[in-house]
Amino acid sequence: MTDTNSNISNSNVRGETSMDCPLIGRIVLGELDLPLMRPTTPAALANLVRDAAQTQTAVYPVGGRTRTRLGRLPEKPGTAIDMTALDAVIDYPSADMTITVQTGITIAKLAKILAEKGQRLPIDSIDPEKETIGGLIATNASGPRRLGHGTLRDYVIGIKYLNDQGEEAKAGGRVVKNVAGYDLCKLQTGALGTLGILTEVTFKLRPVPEARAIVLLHCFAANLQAAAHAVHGSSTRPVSVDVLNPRASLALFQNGLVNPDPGHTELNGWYIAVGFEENGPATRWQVETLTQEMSLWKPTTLQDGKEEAFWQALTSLGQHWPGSNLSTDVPITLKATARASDVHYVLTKANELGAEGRVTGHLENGIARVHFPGDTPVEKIQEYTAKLRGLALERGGNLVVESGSPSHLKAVVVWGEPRADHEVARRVHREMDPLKIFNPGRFLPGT
Amino acid sequence: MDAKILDQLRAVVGPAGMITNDSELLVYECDGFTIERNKPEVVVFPNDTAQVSRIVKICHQAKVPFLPRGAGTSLAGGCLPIGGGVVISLARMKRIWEVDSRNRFAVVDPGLVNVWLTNQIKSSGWHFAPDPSSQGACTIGGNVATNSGGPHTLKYGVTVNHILGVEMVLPDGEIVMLGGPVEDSPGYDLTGVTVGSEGTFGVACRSWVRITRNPHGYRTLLGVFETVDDATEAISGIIAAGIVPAALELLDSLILRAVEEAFGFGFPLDAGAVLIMEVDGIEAGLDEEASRIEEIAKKARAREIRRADTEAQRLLLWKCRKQAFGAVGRLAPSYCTQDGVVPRTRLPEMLRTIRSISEKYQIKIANVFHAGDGNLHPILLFDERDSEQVKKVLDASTEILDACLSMGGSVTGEHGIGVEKISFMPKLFSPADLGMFARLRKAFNPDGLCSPGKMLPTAGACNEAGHVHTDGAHAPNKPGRRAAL
Repeated sequence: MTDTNSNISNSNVRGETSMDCPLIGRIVLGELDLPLMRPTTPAALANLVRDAAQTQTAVYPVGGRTRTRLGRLPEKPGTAIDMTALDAVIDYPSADMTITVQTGITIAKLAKILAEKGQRLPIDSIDPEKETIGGLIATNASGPRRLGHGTLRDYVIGIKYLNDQGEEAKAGGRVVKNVAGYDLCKLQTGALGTLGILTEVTFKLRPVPEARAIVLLHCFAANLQAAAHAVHGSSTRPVSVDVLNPRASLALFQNGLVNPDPGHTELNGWYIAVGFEENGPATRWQVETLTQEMSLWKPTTLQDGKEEAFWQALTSLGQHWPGSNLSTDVPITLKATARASDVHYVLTKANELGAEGRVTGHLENGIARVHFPGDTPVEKIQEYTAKLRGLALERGGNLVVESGSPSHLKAVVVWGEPRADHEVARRVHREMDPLKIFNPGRFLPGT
Repeated sequence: MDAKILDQLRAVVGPAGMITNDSELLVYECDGFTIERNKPEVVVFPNDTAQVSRIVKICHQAKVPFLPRGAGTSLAGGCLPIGGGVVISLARMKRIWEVDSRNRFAVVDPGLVNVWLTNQIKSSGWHFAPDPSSQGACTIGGNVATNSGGPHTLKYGVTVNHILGVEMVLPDGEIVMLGGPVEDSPGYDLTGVTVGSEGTFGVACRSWVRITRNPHGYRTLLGVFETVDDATEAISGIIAAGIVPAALELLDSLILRAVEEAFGFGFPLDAGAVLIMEVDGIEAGLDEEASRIEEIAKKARAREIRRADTEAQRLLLWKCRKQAFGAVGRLAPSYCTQDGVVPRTRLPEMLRTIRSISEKYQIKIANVFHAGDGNLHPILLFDERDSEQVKKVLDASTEILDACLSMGGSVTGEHGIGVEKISFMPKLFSPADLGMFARLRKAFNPDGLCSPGKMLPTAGACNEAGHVHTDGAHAPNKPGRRAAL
């Protein structure tokens, strides 16, 4: 980020810059220009929280800053906290298949440590080199392989966090099975940091699978439903079933990863990517079986690392736009949900919005995403958001704006239609952060 | 209880929908944890969520404590009606409302017996993954309240991993839907934090549960070992090899004898331990996994490895495992089972500790447990008519659970805190941790009328009505603990 290195001295910072908590610059979050502190010890971090509680200001933790454009605009002045110095591995008893880390660690660093023992945390990340575990958990990030491996709520078995008094509190533990106490691990996952600052987390881990592959299938908007239905009825057990509209396919295939349709330079169809991760014989059998079952849909197999690159590129698809200025243009991502049986409808309608939209979806999870370049006019995004939200709501789902510039975010309903339990959620928030210290304004209205 | 309140309740459920008679109320004075008992003043049997809501509103208005109850199989006193009050039995609410295999979920009532759901859907190729040993009796509402586990949680996760949404009656009677069948509903994961809250957030009525495709096949192996240490070495080896078995269950020699007497499976009675090792999934991959497991077990000095070659053999093997607790009656008049967890690699050490505690107190302890998860179920055998033995059993239990904590584990993997283990909460959690738990509970249950005296050592606002001491682990003169099936 370019906006962090200017104007180091600042009189608004209440916490004195010190050895264990230097002021490293400023950061713009939404429309707030905030001092950015980088605590190097948990104690220094706790001081920042206590400071905020005393002064009734706010703290905004940031990690790799890959998802700072998610959520409503922050509403209260305060301090941004760079969490990346707190990135230690606390304990890795690999034979127990658990690891305890500080939350500032990046996904890539964690993955590397785990890979040495043949293990992993099977959660797809938008940008593993930058994204931190804290950010991943706060936003409950996930990607294609959530179908087979679940989401973070299935892996976080213990947490430590700072509460509104700056006290360290914990929930869960370091063993894989534990029902003592309320499961705040679930509550904190996806809470966008509004219920405290996560400092440490313990994960349950999985072994790296012996073999992986993706089978790509080709279809058109008109027969997407039939293709999706056929994949659903397959005798294989995929870990991911994703769909890409022509523009999303083009964006992905243009980087030379694969050319599934060598006869054509212009891709004109949709693709469904069915992924497998298992031991060797089970993966081979599933690739062969699906290829046979879906022979009408021009199956092509991606393997030998291409499948992993495909999953990664698909997860980060909204990030890269040729010709756009990334420092000024914040890409826009809308996520619509629906019953899995109906998501094809949301996807095809999303495809009809605007000329630029890259539409992808996790077919079996009922999740559709549309990515637009950052220079898409605000009124257009407003219109698309309202239209898609309506479609999603009719099919039991909702719509969240996952990324956008402040002007876009101000113009739309970021978190969708309030759920039936909205009032309970507000009560929980009121109990746990009565002074509105943690990320105020960014999550649900009222939190 | 005020006759006016009884009249109001009767108006909701009808005269045939409630019990006020003393002798009938006896059934409801405890659950599978029998050491502490307290009779409710009335038990009501609503037929649907709307009736539950009306009952809760009456209790809320009259400031009477109330408590939901499923099948009463809790081993931790989760259904103990502290402060008397109203027990809301969900036994009559046992409908399967919807099975939507296209969208991989089912909607079920709280009183539905766990295995009934699987029985209903298995022929179409689906099942409900959480399979506690009591699945023939326990209810899905109870599973939601306690976040139940079971042998197959090793691969498939515990109850919370399979709950998408819950229709809750909050402690003021309001009906609210938490979560739902569509994934990624924006907002806090209130479903996730409600599962396992032991009834202290309200009454969980209908649940939206994830259903799971049946695996193509299974390979179920029985490893026979001379010693428990060898068996645990095999467990570590299997996990270290990157295999995720569907289940890894250990039975020691004492429990083998009881199970063999009861079911005649053909277990070798001179073995130190046997391991049930099961892999499931895509048929094409199973033989390779099973062979690797066999190899690892042999390396850990397994003296024999048998395969359950037919489905009938496999089912009998699982029957032996799941009904092991029932067979314990053959070993001693009373028994008490614990639910400690240690990191998997500390199992050998923990089992040695249990042996030395057994010798120290001269109490026989049998072991049958979810070895792959590190979740122990030591069964302490005794005679509850002998107060000396009762005291020894309680002291030995405390020592076992303390040892779990000192190895970085927990005092409960799946049974819950209830009232039984409430005195361990301050050992597990700091005042700050507990303070945050209390704040969270207050958001749901501000008056503390719903399931008072459970989970947290600090009492809810209205707990002064409770007449029961919650220091069960240290109460020497109470009758013996007995695990129910």
